[in-house]
Formats: sequence, structure tokens, C-alpha cells
Amino acid sequence: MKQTQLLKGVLDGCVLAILAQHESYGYELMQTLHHYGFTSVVGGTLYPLLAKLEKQGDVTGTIKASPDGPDRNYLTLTPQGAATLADFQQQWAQIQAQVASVMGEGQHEA
Amino acid sequence: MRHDAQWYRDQMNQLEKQLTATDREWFAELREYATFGALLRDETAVDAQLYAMMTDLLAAEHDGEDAVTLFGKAPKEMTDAILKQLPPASWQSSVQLIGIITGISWLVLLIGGGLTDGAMTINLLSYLAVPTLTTLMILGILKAVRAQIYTTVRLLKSRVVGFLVLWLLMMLYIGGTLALVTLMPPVLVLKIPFGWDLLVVGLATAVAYWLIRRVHDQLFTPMAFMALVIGAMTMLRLWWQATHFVPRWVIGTIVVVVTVGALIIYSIWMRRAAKRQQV
Repeated sequence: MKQTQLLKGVLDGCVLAILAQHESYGYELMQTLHHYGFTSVVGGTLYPLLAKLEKQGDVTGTIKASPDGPDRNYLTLTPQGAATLADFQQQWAQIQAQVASVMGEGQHEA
Repeated sequence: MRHDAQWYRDQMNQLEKQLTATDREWFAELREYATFGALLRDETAVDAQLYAMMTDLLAAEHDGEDAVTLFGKAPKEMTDAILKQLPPASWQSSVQLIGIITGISWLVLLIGGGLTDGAMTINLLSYLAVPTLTTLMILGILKAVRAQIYTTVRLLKSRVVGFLVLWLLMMLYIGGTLALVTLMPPVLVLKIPFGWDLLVVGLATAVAYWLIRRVHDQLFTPMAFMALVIGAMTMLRLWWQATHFVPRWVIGTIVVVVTVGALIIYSIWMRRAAKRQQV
């Protein structure tokens, strides 16, 4: 299975988690995702996702002065975004445990 | 802080100069594709999104990357996906747009004056049908221009083909308008006597011009020019129909030459205005 298919639904949570740590902008978010190993993520995936999160009210953009370049659109997590992130973390922990359990049984049977 | 659409456009026009030539061209196509596809989207949200992407591209270039590395190889799909997420245009701007389209449509109808040799007539059914046709024509032009941007068919990318397609759409529109005016059943027809007809056309021209100029968008300036030309030609023709102050062929030639010339100028101006908005 392609990594992009596995990433669907998970990337939203990852972006919210990064923004929970500090405000950021598109390119910086991309670099952070690449740093965590999501090297297949490009703007074609990230920018529609950011627009979706903003539409849902999970993040909000503000134009602010940047120390190294023109004013940027900094994205911050909203209270609703924090709640969405909490939901994601809970569901992710559950899925992770379920998948680990299935994989564990698979390994025992093998 | 939030800014208005013009602020984002002005900033982008300045920042664009800092991009490499290849990325500047890449981003210009993206802007054109997004702008022409965002007729029913919130203009400020669209420009804010493009501004954020451009500042990100500048940062990426600073790190030695380029537009393709940052945004990927599917800019069309990316833009379509982004536009779907952006808020729709406010009802005020939609009403303003419909008002402009209707105003221009009515001016086009006033040129026909009911297509009689005598008194000017207003067929109310035509006045409902033609704005609908005008809306379809504008949507058709935007769709044609957009389709040309990321086409993989090299022939369709050429300027000549683009111009021919726009010209064809304009001809279809003019033909369709004439067909609607001539074939529409004469239900609810008003006759306007000479003198009053000049006043009606003059006022309609002024109102349409004022509406178009209020948009404060370079893309609409050619339409304001067209409105003035159409209004002037209508008044000239109506004046002639009442007084026959010169032979018929003279007035016919003047109206045809000026209108066709204005349409050519309009087409070129529209294309340049679209390009200039990205510079």
C-alpha cells in the first residue's frame, strides 16, 4: 500500500499537533513534517489540507511580520482545533493499539 | 492582521519580482488559474491564500528549492482542491456581479432597440433572457482561459488558439443575443418615443459605466469601455432613425466599423488586463 493512502486522515492530526507546539506557516510546517519523516508530503497535499483546517475552524491564519522575509501568514491552533487534536490523539491511540494487537497475533501465528 | 484583497495583490505584485524567472512564470500560471476559477469564491480569501503560498515559495527559494519541489507536480489539482475549501463570495458581491452582468446585457439590448427601423422597443422577455446568456458567455470565457493554462495539448496553449476561442465565444454570444431579440415573442413590449430613447440609453450607459468602475478591478475596465462605445453607437443610430440626417449606408458603416473595432480592442485589452493583474 502506498504511504499516501495510509497518511490520509493522519496528516490532519500531525499538522494540528505541530501547531499545538507553536504557530507556524506553510513552508515551515512542510519542513517540520519532512523532519519527522513525512518526506512524500508536498504542497499539493499540505495547502488544501491547511485550507480545510481553516475552513473547519481548527486553525486560524494571521499576517505577521517575519524576522527573515516578507510578512507571513502564521497559522495557530484554535480552541476548536485543540479539541479536534484531543479527539484525534484518542482515536489514534485506539487504532494504534488495535493494529499492534493484530500485527502481534500475526507474528505469533507466523 | 487581515488585509483586503487589493493589499494581497499589491504585495504579490512586488514579491513576485524576487522569484526566479522559472518560478515567477510557474506562479503566474497558478495565480491566473486560481483567479479565473474563483468567480464565486471570496476574493480576499483567494488572494490571502495565494499570498501565503508566494511567501512560502520565497522562503523555499532561499533554501535552494523551487516551486515544483515545494508544491509538487500537480498545480492544477492542488488549486482545485484549495478553491473547494475557500469560503464562497458574499451575497453582496454576487448581487453586484449580477447587477453588472444585467446592466451590460441591457445595454447590449438597447443597441438593438427592438431591431426596428422606427421607434425603439423594449421586449421584457428579451431583457430576462439576454442576461442569462451573458452570464453563460462570461462563464464560458473564464472556463476557456482556465482550460488553456494547464493543458497538455501544446496547440491549445498557443496565443492564437486562445484568441480564436475567445473570438468564437464572442461571436456565439452576439449571434445568440440577436437570435433571442429577433425570435422572442412580442409579449409585454414597450415603445419608447424619440428623445426619450436617447435619454434612456444615455442613462443606462452612465449607470453601467458607474457600476463597472465601482468594482475597482483592472479586469472590468475593458467592459466599461465597451459600455461607453455601445451606448454611443445606440444613440447615434436612434438619432439617425428619427431624422435620417445622412444616407443609410454611412450610418451603417460607422456603427459596424466602430463596434467591430471596439470588440477587437476589448478582446486584446481584456487579455492584457488579466496578465497585468499578475505582474
